[in-house]
Parts: sequence; C-alpha cells; structure tokens
Amino acid sequence: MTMPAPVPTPNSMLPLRSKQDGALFFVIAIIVFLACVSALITRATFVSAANWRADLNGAMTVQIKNAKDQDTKVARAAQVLRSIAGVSEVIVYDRTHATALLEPWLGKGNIPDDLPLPVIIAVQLTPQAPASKDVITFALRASDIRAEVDDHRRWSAEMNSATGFLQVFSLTALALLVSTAIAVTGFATRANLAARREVVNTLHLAGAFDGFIAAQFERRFGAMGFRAGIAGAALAALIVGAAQLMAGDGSGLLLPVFRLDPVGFGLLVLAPVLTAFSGALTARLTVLSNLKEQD
Amino acid sequence: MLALNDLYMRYSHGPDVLHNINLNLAPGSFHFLTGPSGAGKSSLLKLIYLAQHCSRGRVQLFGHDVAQSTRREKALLRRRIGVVFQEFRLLEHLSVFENIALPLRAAGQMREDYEEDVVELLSWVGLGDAINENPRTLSGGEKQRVAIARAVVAKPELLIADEPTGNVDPQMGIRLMRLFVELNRLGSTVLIASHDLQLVRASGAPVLTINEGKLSAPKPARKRGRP
Repeated sequence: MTMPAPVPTPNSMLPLRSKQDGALFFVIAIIVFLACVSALITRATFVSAANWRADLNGAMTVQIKNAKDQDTKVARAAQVLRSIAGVSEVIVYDRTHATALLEPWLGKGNIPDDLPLPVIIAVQLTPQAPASKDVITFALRASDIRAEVDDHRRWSAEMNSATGFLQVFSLTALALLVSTAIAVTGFATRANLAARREVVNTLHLAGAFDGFIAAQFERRFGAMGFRAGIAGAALAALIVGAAQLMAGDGSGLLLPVFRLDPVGFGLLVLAPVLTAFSGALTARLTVLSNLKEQD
Repeated sequence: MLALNDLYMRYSHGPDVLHNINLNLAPGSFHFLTGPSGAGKSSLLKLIYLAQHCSRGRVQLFGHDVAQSTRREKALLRRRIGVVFQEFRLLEHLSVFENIALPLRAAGQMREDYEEDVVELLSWVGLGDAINENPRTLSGGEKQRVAIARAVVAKPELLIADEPTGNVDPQMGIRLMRLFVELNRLGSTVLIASHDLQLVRASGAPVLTINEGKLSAPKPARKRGRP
C-alpha cells in the first residue's frame, strides 16, 4: 500500500484563525477609519489655515470715505497704488459695487443717490516682496489722499490663534488614535500569545530562536493589520467622498476644506501599509518581551 | 555530556522540589529514571531539557554552563536535545507530518531537506497512513508515537523521554524501546523516566531513582549488556 503524500507546509505555525480574530479585526478597522478621517481633517486644517493666511497676508484694503470729488480721489488713489513697488493688482469697488452689496438688505432702488457710501480699493500684494502698510499710507498721504489702510492684522492674529488651536487639536486626536491602535494591537497580541502558549512553549523547547517565534506572530498581525487597514481606509474614503458630494463647492468658505485630493488619497493608501507595519512591529516587540519574561 | 552539581530547584516561591542533585551522564549512556509519582522525575527532566531554572547549583550541558549561556546559545543547546513529553504536546492545528517536522523547521531546515526522513520515520512508527491526519483524530498511543517521532527526528545527542510507553500496548512499547536503543547505538545519550518496572528491569540499563526530590546513586544494570 502506498503512503499518501504530505500536504503542503503552511506558512505560519500558528492556527489560521482564533476566536479573538474577528473582534480584533473589527476594532482595528474602526480605529484605522477614525485615524484616516482624523488625518484628512488634520490635513484639511493645515491647507485651509495656509490658504486663509495667504489670503489675509497677501492683501490690503484701502477705504476712501465719502468726500467731495470722491471719484477723482479714488481714481488718483488707484493710480498711486498701482505705481507702488510690491503691489500686484488694484481693484476698485466703487459706488456701484457698494450699492449692489447693500441692495439685498435695503431693497432694489431704495438707496438714495446722496447716501454717503465709502469706496473700497482691494490691493493685492506681490508675494515675494509685498509693499508694507506704512509705504502705502505714506504714498497716499504724499498725494494728499486721506484714506484708511487696513492690513487685516487684527484678523490675521485671530485667524492664526483659531487655526493654531484647530491644528493642535486635530494632531492630538490623530496621535491619540495612533497610540490607541498600537496599544490595542499590543494587548491583542498578548491575549493571542496567552491563547497560543502551547505553540510558543513547544517551539521554544524545540530550539526555535526568539526571532523565529516572534516572526510567526509578526506575520499574523501584519497581515491582519493590512486587511483591517484596507477596510478602515475604504470606509473612510466612502464617508469622505460622500461628505464631499454633499458639501458641494461652498464648503471651504469658513470650514476646513475636507476633500479627497491626490494627497488625501495617498494618506488612505498609506494607512493599511502603516497599520500592517505597526501591527507587525508591535506583535514582534510584545512576543520578544513576553518570551524574555518567561525565561 | 550532562553534569548536575549540588542542584536545587523550586517552582516560583514554593519549597524545593529537588534537593542537592548530583548527576553525571556520559556521552552514549542509557539510563532509566524511576521513582513514585511526585518524587521529582518530571522536574528533573524539565531542568535537563532547559524548561526550568535551578534555584541553586550548576547545570552543564554538552560542556556549556547553562547559567552562563545566552538565550541564543540555550536555543542551540535545546536543538541537541530530543524530548518526549508525558502530555505529548502535539500542535493540533498542524498535521502529523508537520508536528514531526517541527524541530527541523524550528531549526531553519527546508522541507525538501527533511521530507523523506520524516516520511520514513512515520512509516517506522506505524503511522504512514496518518501523515496528513490531525493529531486530534489519533488515539493516545498514536499520539505518543508521533511525539516520539518528533523527539528523535533531528537525531538528538541527548534524548529525554517522560513515560514514553505509558499509552501504548506492550508490543508497540517494545518496538519503541528498540528505537531508543537504536538511537543510543548511533550515539545518542538516552534518559527515560518510567513507571514501568517490568520494562526497566527487562532493559538491563542502569537505573536512577528519585524520591522526595533526592536522587540516589545509579544502580548498576541487572541484566548483562545494553538494553
């Protein structure tokens, strides 16, 4: 009678599945989902903060109050401003614009012609060498134009403070979630190790090096981390995509722009790889420390 | 080969279970270890196969002072020892073939290098048909044979067996003893703990007796020649 051939050798010397695996997969996937959303919010906060700062720091407003010969003064002021080095663009928001802004509140045709309205001139500055508030004020005064120059400094300070808080908050949340993921993996590895004590002891007594035993758990948790990472990142992509569709184009006005651009997509792709790496590393360190404790 | 000097052992903070053990096993020797239940046979074997530490004294194995050895060196020492555990310690998620090949795989050998040896050994212990079986499906005696095959597959320099014939019929017991004798003839030092006084007497090998954690001097063989 011929003997049957031995079946192929499995890669891992650990049982393929254990009772805790399903729950652990779910927990890691949810943590990865939260971490992905948190990472995208953090990124959106940084991008929005940078845009807000650039918008505020790269522009000034010149206000010319109602006066005799206002139109002439405005035209002269615009000419002076265009001649200043460090100014890239000058846009005059004349009475027509001011009227258009007031009409929604006062009603069309309800603004008398003699109602005094200020004229605003928006000044865009050259990003490389912007003109300072003092230079602009001095140039206007030299041309005998009385105007208020606002460099938005007060708004900038408040914006910096608000975005700084938002950035620190989102980074802290992200760091906490990543730490939680590592702690959960470590805890699960210890539980798995306790359940697999017999396998570990048998391998240990057969003369397996610690690294060989740790590699069995490393592969197991690395693979699980990768699968759970894909699930968590896919869920995050779904939610962010839906949020993007629902928010439309106007969402970036006050709130951070929460969208799935190539960088955001890259973060989601990176998530399973990082989860696998973190799971494998945590499992390895946990097993090695546990083996040393045993001896 | 093995030298134990003034050795004491305890589990955790409990009392000493082994007292002032002194033992020398020469390379190629064959000994039985007997004693009543709870006398310390398994504890002594655990010390020898490096599953436990001594609380006092010195263990020298293959010329190495175990206390001075690194973890890696201890792993390498363990590879030179084959152990048949009383409770078998088979991994139930692996096949019979994989269980037997475990020490070779743990030592980093590739399957193509050991497959033939494992298959041959399986056939020798009468489990050729169970090659892909799960150990859970085997009887106590079959499990014991798998455990023995696993202990001898790497041709260890020191073979330790804790009640290796406890679950097999007398005929298989004799067959397994022949395997130990054959390994001993090939150069392995053999130490077998057994309750089976008939088997011990029949073997004619020197007998170490342990009682209440104290080891008495080896009694010479009652039968002439090797077992």
